[in-house]
Amino acid sequence: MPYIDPHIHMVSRTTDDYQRLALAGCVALTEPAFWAGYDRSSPQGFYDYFRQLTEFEPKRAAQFGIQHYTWLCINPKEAEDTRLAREVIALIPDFLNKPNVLGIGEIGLNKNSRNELAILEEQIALADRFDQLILVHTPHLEDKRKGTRLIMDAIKRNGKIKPSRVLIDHVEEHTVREALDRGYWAGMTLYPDSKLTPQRAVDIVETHGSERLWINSAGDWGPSDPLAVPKCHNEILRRGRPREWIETLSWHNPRTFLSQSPRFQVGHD
Amino acid sequence: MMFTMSAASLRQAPHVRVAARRVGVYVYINISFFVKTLLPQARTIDLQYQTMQAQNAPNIEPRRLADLYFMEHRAKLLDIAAFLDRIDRAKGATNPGDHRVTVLQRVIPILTDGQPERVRRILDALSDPSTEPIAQASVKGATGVPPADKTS
Repeated sequence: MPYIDPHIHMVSRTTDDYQRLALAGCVALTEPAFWAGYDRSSPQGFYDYFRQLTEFEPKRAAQFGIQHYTWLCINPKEAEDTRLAREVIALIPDFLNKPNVLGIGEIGLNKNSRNELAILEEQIALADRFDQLILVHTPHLEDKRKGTRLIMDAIKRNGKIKPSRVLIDHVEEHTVREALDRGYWAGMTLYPDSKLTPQRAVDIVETHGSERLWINSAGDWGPSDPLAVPKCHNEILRRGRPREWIETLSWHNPRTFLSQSPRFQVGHD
Repeated sequence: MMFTMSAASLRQAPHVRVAARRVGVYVYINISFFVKTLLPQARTIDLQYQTMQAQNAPNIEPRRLADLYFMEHRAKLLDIAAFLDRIDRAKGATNPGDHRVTVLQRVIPILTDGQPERVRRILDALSDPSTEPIAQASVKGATGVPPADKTS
């Protein structure tokens, strides 16, 4: 069954992982810009990273028949240094016309600090100025609930961004309802230790429905599984739920949200 | 009976059959145009409707859920017990308990209180209750529980 993994960090994965994804049915993925596990020392480091996301990774994915899309930003973990962050933000407009760029992301908060919030607001304004979709990273663990609310409030304060053009990612049981009720799309990230297991993701669908929801692996350099999405599909079937749930979560919903960018051309034949 | 007979005789009238066929063709063309024009949105809406239908379907039998998940969660429960035993063995008179473990133990009763939404309530209990941004991010990581000064 063909599917889309709408959040995965392939720069941290091997070429073998592209092959495994293709064999599992992945036909397209989107890769948000994120923290490399260490702080980059200059804007030039981000310039090179943006080139990797817009030039190198699409070619690597294409070898396995996978369409590669990306999102650009300075991530919240490196936003505490506002001077560096603003220099990186200034680089982004030059990359927004690259054919695989879908929008600004994953922007958001990490420790919910004032500087993180200021840089978030500037990137929301950037998305508005260039009419870009937004992919939001919500904080980890104890910081998630507070951070999710601060982020949604910041988007609301901007006043020009439609919630229907924003996906709030990494939702869990205590944040999913509020994100959906405020009109946003919501992403469920499948991780072995933090965020959601496939079982809990299916519980959320059983409880809240599948409208404006998707699932992703967010596979990266930490404990994560690039095949978490097909494993969640298996969980749906194992529980006796209909195959249509899989199509909704991993095909129709990602396509509907991402197709708001004219660059996203998956399944438009 | 009277109505059935009238309807049957009407259906046999040639002009009624022709009119009905024209209406049918008209409706078919319009529905086809509607569906083709609104694809893939129409398909998505249809699938969401099917999903809602599935959610309204009878719940899975508790016995089947237990068959699927009992052994996995029995093992997880034993892991928690073993973890707490390990912490106890490591504790000494000069080794106070870890704040994270204290908070973890505090939320365990939620598991057996018989109330719904256990996961959401545990996540809420493990969340920072403050609402204002902090002055500065001095670390990048999260510990999994609110800081001691914000724990109720």
